[in-house]
Amino acid sequence: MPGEAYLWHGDERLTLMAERAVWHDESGTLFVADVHLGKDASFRRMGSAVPDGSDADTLARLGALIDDLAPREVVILGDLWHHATGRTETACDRFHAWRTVYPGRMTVVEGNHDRRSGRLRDEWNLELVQNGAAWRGFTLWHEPERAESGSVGLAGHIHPGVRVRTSRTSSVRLPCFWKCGGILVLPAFGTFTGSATVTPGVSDSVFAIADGAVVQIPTALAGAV
Amino acid sequence: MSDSRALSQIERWFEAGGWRPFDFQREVWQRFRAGESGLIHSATGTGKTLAAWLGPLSEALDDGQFDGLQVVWLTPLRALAADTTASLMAPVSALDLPIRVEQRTGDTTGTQRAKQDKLLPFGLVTTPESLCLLLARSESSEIFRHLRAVVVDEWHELLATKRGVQTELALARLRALVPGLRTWGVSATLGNLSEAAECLLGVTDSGINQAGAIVRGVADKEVVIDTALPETMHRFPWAGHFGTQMVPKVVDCIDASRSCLVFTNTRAMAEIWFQQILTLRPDWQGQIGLHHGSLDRGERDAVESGIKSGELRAVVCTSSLDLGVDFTPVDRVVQIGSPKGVARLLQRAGRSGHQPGVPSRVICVPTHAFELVDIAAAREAAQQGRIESRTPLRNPLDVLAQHAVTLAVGPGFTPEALLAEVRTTRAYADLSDAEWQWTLDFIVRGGESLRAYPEFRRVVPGDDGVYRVTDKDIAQRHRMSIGTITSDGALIVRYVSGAPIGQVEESFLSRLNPGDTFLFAGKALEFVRIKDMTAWVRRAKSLKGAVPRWAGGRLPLSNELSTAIREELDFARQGELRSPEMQLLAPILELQMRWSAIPAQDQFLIEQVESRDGHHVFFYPFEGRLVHEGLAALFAFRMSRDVPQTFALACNDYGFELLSPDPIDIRRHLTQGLLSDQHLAEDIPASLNSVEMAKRQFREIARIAGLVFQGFPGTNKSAKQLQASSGLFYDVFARYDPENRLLRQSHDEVLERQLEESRLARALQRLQRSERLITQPPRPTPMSFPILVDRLRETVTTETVSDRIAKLTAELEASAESIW
Repeated sequence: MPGEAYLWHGDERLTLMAERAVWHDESGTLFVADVHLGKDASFRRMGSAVPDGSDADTLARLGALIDDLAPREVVILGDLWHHATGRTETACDRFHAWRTVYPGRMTVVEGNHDRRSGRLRDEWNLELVQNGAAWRGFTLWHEPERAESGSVGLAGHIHPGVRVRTSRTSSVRLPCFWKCGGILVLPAFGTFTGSATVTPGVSDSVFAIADGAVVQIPTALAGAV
Repeated sequence: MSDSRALSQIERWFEAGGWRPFDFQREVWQRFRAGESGLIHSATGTGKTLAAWLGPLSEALDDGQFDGLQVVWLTPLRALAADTTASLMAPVSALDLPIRVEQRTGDTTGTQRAKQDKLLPFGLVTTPESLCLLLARSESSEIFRHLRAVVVDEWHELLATKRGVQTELALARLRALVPGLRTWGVSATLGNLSEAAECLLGVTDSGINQAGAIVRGVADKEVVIDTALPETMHRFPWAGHFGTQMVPKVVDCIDASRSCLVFTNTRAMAEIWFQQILTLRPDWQGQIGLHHGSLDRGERDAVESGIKSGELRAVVCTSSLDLGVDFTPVDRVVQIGSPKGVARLLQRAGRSGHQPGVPSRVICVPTHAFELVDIAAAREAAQQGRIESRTPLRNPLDVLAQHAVTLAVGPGFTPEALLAEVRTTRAYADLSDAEWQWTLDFIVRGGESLRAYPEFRRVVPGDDGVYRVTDKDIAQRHRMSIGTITSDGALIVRYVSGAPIGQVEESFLSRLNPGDTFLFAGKALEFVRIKDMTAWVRRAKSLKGAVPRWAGGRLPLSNELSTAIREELDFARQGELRSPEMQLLAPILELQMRWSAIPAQDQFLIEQVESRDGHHVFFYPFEGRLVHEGLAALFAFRMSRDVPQTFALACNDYGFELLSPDPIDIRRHLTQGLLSDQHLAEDIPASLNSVEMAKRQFREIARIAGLVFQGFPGTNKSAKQLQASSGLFYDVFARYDPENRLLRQSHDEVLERQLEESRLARALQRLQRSERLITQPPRPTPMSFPILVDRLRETVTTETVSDRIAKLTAELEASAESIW
């Protein structure tokens, strides 16, 4: 499909989607990372006046992907929730209501933010796995650790973004997929999340999301003006 | 002459020192003691400090009352606090009074502050930020109970800034706490002194300005503005090349003086000139210093004391030395490059010749041909007393929100009383009820009143009607965030061996690879790595290296100076070369007239040139770089609205260029509303990437309004869940709360402060009235050449980012598919 990029591991194909998700066709699995539900509420609790709306958007986008792809499983690569202070009644109820509409199988790799967000409620019906869990020849990470030689992994945590030079005097910063060593780091999925600019090494691959399309960025174009 | 024993004593102290008080000093003392407030101004020179200080001091002496905090002395720079404290203490020690004057700034240690809290000094020298921290204490009314006077030093520096607004709010609070409090300001001469006084003194509840005196200090000193003229204009560069041939002239100036300040307009220029001077005179190593805002405070302090003691022969500096500190030994000032403004040149000239009877003298050094015009025009404007105004800000809601939270952290406030108090400042005199309600909702409910966020906590109304911050963490974070100065992603530069050198913007450092060398702090440094928000470096062996680029380095020409330049050129056009600078420039002006023209004041010159690059059109409004950037984008937008066209834009302080691969029918565009001042509010945002600009502006607003928390000094992990970039906030507001007034404020600030919309509109009106002078020179003229070679050319294009990347990628032949 136009606007998508593919990554091959043997015969298995992963599709990098402009929706900030990865699709594994063979098993029907959808991967997203760093959802950060309740982040806006967490800010409000701390006295920062952020408007409501980003959680609803995050869940609507995830729902739309599920409608489109009808996955057999959704894997969250960590940080489903932002922080315990943001697990307000409204935020929890909203997620619960969403789960009733999208009750399919959902696995969460426990992320550093999840650890500070309190126990996942039973009625959400989520399966929690630890950092580094094995999955069909892949390793699932939140915080990526060094990959054993030969093994490949999917990860979150970093919220990668890349600065792309578009002319001699200007550049833009875009969220991206970052393949570094044997690990593919996904961009953050949540609406109220930012990105951290990564400086890709020469052997890395970077796929940026620009104007609704996934474009591979030659490392020569990545970096400040 | 005075019935005050104290004043007689003070007069005797003056006599003992061999001098007498100036008339203006006596006037200020009398007015102060009669209960008046006011503003003291003069271009340079001493005496203003004692004028403001001895009124309250003598009154206390006559009363025999020395208890409690009686005078708050606000200074814009904490670096000045120590010097000011010493000047205030001089008469105190001489008269042997039982009082203390102390400083309280961000540099004051916790133990010192605790000591002050137990026993407040008579006089407290402090900054607006530290004053607000005192207002954020629950016992603030007790602290200021004995206050007689608040004095604001260098008021012109604060006036047109958000710090100035913060100061206005703090003054209103002090006046509310202490009925009868007298406010005095000390300022350099400005074009809008009465406006400056209104901001300082505030308005009454009924909206009328408080009565206040404007007292002029000692008659302005004679200022001599000279130019180091190049021997010949032959081979003197037409454009912004570095004028290396002028380095020997500067070295001569330094050699002929006892102590010399060499001002440059940018930090990068300061680094370059420092290096160049040392290359010519390696024996001056250690005898000349470098001073700019990015250097480590310790390093700057050392240089400042080197000037004061006369140890340093010269210091190459930027506006970092425009202010304050009295450098008596300095007998000569050099200005490298265009002075850019009249007041600025006078201020710099005033750094020399502090001895009575000696004129202040500045020698200007042009770095390319047309800077000779700038210098001649600046001298003419200075002689006519045409000084720039500084326009105060109105209704910035971010500063208001911060102030209200500050008071809520302190003793608390009731909305009605606070609104009345806030409206006594000039900045908020016409604050609407809706704006106030929005601000209150923003800090109490987390947004407009229709939304309900039960989890939001910041300011909480109590049962007694008093609004307070009850959460300790929120109070603590607010105290850490008080202030309106935002640092722009600067990293500390530090030797691997440990010593800090200063700060450089992240954007420059991120372009360096380990092993690269760069010039900073007058040294060639080798970049090692970035770690823990610090750039680690070591001394480089080679002396060559890149010079850091700092943001905001390109200062635009002031309105007054641009007008003076148009006049100067008009005289030249009529063959009247009124100064040595213009006479030297004669051959180049002649060439300009032969190939094209020099515009009269009521003419608008447009040059059309063709080259291998395409069709160039040069426009010369002479309105300064900022206005030209806006006009260039606006013209490009209007000219491509009907027929799609791509333009490259470039500009300088005199004019701007549009370059297109296709022919430009300029006459047709001129008849079709190119110069119209209508629809600017729509056309300007449409012509520029104003969203990106607003996002950048929002960074400051988000910080001041307390949306973004910069974090505790050092790293505090517990605050990590609170970190988000202001860009992210901007996006979330734009989507879910598009009517948010802070968003609107960021758009307004971009239009008014960055694009100078009203100045741009006035420029268009002037150009509409002007006669158009369209020429087709055979080749780029002396006036167009500097614009033509400007390296920072912007392109206006309609391509999307992904198209652009695809094009660039195609050139690099990469594929969008890969394997592990």
